[in-house]
Amino acid sequence: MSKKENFLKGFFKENPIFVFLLGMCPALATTATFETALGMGILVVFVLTASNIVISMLRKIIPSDVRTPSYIVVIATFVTIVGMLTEWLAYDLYAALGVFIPLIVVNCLILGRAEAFASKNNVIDSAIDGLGMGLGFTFALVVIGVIREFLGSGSVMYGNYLPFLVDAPINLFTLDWFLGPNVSIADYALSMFMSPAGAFIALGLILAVMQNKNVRKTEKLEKEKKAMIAEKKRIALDKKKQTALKKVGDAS
Amino acid sequence: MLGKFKTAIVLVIIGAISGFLIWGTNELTNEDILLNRELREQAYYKDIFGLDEAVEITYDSERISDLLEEVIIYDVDSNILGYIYKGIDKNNYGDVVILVGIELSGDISNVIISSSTNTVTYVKNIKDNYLDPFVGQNIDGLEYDSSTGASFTYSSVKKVVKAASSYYLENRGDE
Repeated sequence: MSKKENFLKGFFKENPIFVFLLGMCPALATTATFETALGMGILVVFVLTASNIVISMLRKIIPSDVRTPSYIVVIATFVTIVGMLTEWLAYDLYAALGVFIPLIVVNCLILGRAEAFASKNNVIDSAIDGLGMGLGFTFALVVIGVIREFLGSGSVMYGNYLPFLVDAPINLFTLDWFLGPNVSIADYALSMFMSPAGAFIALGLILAVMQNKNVRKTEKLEKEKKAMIAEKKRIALDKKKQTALKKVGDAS
Repeated sequence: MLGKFKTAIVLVIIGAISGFLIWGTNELTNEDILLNRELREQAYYKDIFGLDEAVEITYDSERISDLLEEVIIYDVDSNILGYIYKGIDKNNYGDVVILVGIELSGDISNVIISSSTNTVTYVKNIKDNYLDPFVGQNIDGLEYDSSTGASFTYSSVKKVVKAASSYYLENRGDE
């Protein structure tokens, strides 16, 4: 696998959330808004990349019978560090994510990549894998977050939790832009999508769309395969016919 | 034997590196984290008494029981603006910090959950729907919401508000 393929596989082909259904806890609990989803994604990218690098560096000296507890210690270290940094640099995000920051330790995506990839590959490949998988995870969280926030409030905001680039919260997109001055989309939004039940429904809808796409792709491939087989059969039959005709011609 | 010794050494090294990294990050961030918490706490105090961000306040705090800490809020002229009771309750989901502001008249000025390790959505629900009814009630005849009584967060809120109001009635009621 090339480095580019290694990096890109986490986005679609092996997306942790949409394909492997890993890390469902943060995917459902922290995606009520685009910003909390993005925040959680950034934290996971940091922890996943750093722990993959360290585990890959130590893979030859960690005895196999204690490898899982060793990986957990490494992951927990980076989660503790990331928790402190978040409380320092983005207190509102820290308060919004709450208990889900320490829970990154038990995110099966991180331990899964440590066990399946970092413990068997070199540092550079493991770093690329961690970064790619982490960004794929972030991408999935952001997609769910944007859909939930948009359906739940009619807007997508930035600046409430992440204090970077803006001084005050701004609307990245809102349907209020297209409505009259006396109407607010918030009055018509489906607030259920901001609740835990909405998380399941949003994820279900996304998975259904992806599944539909996969089924269509498989059906198309199947069709093409059948057509190819039929074409090969036809060519073989033609050849047989021609040979038979040639034989008859030679005999006569 | 040698294998077990090697395992032990490796685990010690991993533990030591982890400890060192956490210590280093703590050294780097600790002061600013404490400052952040202090500023947030002050912002909550101002919020409780409806004061503008620019208003200067001072405060004294004292632990009065295992559950409660009393914070006396003063304005720039050292007049008492009111009392805040800070309760840290531990329930099945972890710690919940609750601030109860009581004015000199005995009316509750606000109840705030300042930090919590409970499930964010549930805490938000309690914050949005069940703390406002406390505002403006006199501590002499407090009424609690019965429908949310079973939730851990609201139970903690109820416990702290009850403790704060009884302490206030016993010790500050005549002021």
